[in-house]
Amino acid sequence: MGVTVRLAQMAVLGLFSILSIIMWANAKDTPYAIHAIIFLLATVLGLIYLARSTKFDGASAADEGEYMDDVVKAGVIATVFWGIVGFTMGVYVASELAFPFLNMDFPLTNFGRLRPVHTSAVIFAFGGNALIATSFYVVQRTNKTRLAFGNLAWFVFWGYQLFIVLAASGYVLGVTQSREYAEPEWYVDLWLTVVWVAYFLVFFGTIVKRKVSHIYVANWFYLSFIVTIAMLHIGNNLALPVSFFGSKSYALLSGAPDAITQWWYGHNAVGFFLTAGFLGMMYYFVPKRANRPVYSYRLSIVHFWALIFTYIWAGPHHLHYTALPDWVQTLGMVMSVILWMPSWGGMINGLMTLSGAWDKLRTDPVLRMLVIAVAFYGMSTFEGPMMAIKSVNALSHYTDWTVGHVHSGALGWVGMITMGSLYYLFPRLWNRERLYSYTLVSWHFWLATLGIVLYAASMWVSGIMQGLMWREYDAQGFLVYSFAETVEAMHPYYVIRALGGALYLTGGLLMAYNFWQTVRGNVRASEAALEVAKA
Amino acid sequence: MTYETVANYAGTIATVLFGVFFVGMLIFVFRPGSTKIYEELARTPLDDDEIKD
Repeated sequence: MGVTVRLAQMAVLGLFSILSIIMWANAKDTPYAIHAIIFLLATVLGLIYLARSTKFDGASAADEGEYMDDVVKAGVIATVFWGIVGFTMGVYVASELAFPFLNMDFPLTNFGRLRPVHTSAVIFAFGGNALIATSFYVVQRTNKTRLAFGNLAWFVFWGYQLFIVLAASGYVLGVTQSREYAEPEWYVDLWLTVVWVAYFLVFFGTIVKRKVSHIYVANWFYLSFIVTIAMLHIGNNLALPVSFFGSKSYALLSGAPDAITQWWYGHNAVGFFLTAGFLGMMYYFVPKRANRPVYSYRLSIVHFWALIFTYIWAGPHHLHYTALPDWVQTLGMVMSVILWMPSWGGMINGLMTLSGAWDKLRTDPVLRMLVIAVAFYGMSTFEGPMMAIKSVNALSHYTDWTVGHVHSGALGWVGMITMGSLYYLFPRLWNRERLYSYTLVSWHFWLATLGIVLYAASMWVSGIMQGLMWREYDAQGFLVYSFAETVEAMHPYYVIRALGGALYLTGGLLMAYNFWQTVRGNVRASEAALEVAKA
Repeated sequence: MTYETVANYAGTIATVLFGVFFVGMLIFVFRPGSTKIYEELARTPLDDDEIKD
């Protein structure tokens, strides 16, 4: 790294520091001032690090003969950390619903403020870090080249963590633009845009300088996720701040156009963030772990194009029976039903990759985790299109059924494919012979699976009951139940749901412990003895 | 030309373009002789993890 380059980096960071001082000095509201201070601290820490690590002999040029894995290591650690945070928040907000006294009548701990902390922590902090880390790992291996643009990957990593901290602290302080899965205000959105462009440059730059002729399909999925999220993020967050020194902004659109923009974003956050990106993970880690080639590479190409052509249209199913034009609702419904095909094509491709290696499911709990993820992908992408059908939606919408559906996808597909990939990655990244304990992986697998079963089953019952109670008329045409009566009836299911979440969290804690020991180079005593006995 | 006419044409043209692209993609992936190539490519993740110089 040349000294000139380093100076230029420091100049840019320095400008950001000055900017945050100006923002702090002129802040119109306290949360904005706090965010300016956090931003200032981050840039100053960055400056100190850059200054201290500058090499003046110029001998430390990036080693092109090696993969850049340090940033992947940081990414998988961040994934585990934010996963635990996000699961814990989930269990807490679920308990708040079951036992409202946990809200503590305090704005900071109110359900309304903590819920986005949970959703953003699991989707963007846990899922996002997993996607960034694995995409950096996979793009290097499948293109046989080191990450492009040197330390820009580190900027992506730390910039993304800063985004997470700004977003989460904002929610607790009451800063929100109240757009689902896009709650951060305008200045945090701008920061994420900067980070995301850098992410795109690193990923795409690595593909451009690849040493193989073909771009492997996992990279197509990752790239479509990066590009589409950039487009959705900018489209959904078009807003005018009240003041450049205040946290409040107003959306450019209003009414039905605003609602459909919100759900065009919202459903594609599911389609491209939580699906396409994680399919990239599936297409690398499932074949790798099973040591089998992809079942049908041809199908993977058809899967890719069919998925991205169709998902982008599915958003209107979130707005059935609203002011949205009827034809748009019907379009959204039809496209959602069509999505059955690419989704199940992809699931079949993932599962059949095990052909010839099915016996490994008995002995390898990591592969079991990857495979149950694909199975949950199939289940929730079957349920989703069904719920998008208008007549089903008339019952399911605004009920807990939706919440259950989201979680069978999030806990089952996104969570399991990520944690399975992490179990693959940790020993490899730290050059360990094996994981600390496979028994703990088995425990994790069953705790998580049981947790999802409790979660999804209780939300089915609760949601369908809730929907039926809302639409129940008596002979005179009056509604039979008041809203509070439905809430009372749902209480037992809320307790079961919180319990399911607690099981899932326990599994996550076991995983963190297992990784801690793996990185330290330990092997669980009884399992080591077992291996010696076998050999 | 009103907004509606333009929007209508644009919608039709885009639908046809997408349709043609998709069918073209299907024809391309099923082109004769591609089976061998795809079997090769399906093994990409199984390559050893070494970097290429």
